[in-house]
Amino acid sequence: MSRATLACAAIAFAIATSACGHLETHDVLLRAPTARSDVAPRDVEIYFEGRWPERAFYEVALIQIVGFGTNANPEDVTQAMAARGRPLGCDAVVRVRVDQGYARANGFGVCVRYSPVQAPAAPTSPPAPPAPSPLPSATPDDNTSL
Amino acid sequence: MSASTSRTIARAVGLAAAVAALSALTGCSSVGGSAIRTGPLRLPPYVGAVNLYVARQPPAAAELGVVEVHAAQSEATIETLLPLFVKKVAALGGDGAVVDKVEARFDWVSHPYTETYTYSCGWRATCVGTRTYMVNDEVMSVSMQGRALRLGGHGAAAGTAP
Repeated sequence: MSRATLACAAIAFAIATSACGHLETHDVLLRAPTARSDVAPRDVEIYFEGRWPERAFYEVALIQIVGFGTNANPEDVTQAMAARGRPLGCDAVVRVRVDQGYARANGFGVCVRYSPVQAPAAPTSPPAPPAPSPLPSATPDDNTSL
Repeated sequence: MSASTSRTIARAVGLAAAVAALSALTGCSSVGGSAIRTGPLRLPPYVGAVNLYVARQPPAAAELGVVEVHAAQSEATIETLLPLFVKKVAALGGDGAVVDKVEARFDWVSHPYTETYTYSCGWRATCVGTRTYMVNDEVMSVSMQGRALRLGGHGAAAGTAP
């Protein structure tokens, strides 16, 4: 095998094994971020649409992650959401939704922080269809304004 | 929201996504949206801070209409969409914006691609030619859908707009 052939093979191998993808992060802050060193990215809880944490919370930011190429998959996108949530001081990312394309994936979630005081039990869903998922009650002073 | 209204919105969103995808490829801005009044309540545009409800249930309030904003490709970000969404809510007279859904749609759009190439033609001569062929691109459109509310009609925030 000639040296040129070996070089071509090495380049092809490097291209094939290198990560041909990237992630774009977008966010809109709804209140000042509070970085927390006690929360690791893996500790930021993820709740997909239809699931809610059992604790009362308030919204901190909206997060959008766009994955391209090899990062265009729900796993990488949700991990990036959790990683973005940590410097914002989020306890959880709720309403997570990932739309998958061929070479792109779009993820959206709401970064929330748990309320310091435990709120009363979440209200039950009304019986009339379509029954919305039970949401924890929000604290009275956490209305978010733009 | 009634089933017919939902179907109408779904059709409108689909059409908007297609338009956004085409706009993205033609170089025009793909950012757009709609604000549709529903029900009998008609209010002038609201000036002031708009309460945003994304993950929490809004308080009881009068619903003024439905709002949809969208964009494609590099413009399809929440930094672009959310301010436009709030603006359209305020245009309906709303002081509360509820984001019901943020979804992405992916379309394959064909468009002509023209390239120039050179080739040898005769002794020591190089000719230039052009060829056009169709290429397919995946276009991502993001749509934000929700409702405009007047919280003041049923809550303590009545009449707080300057």
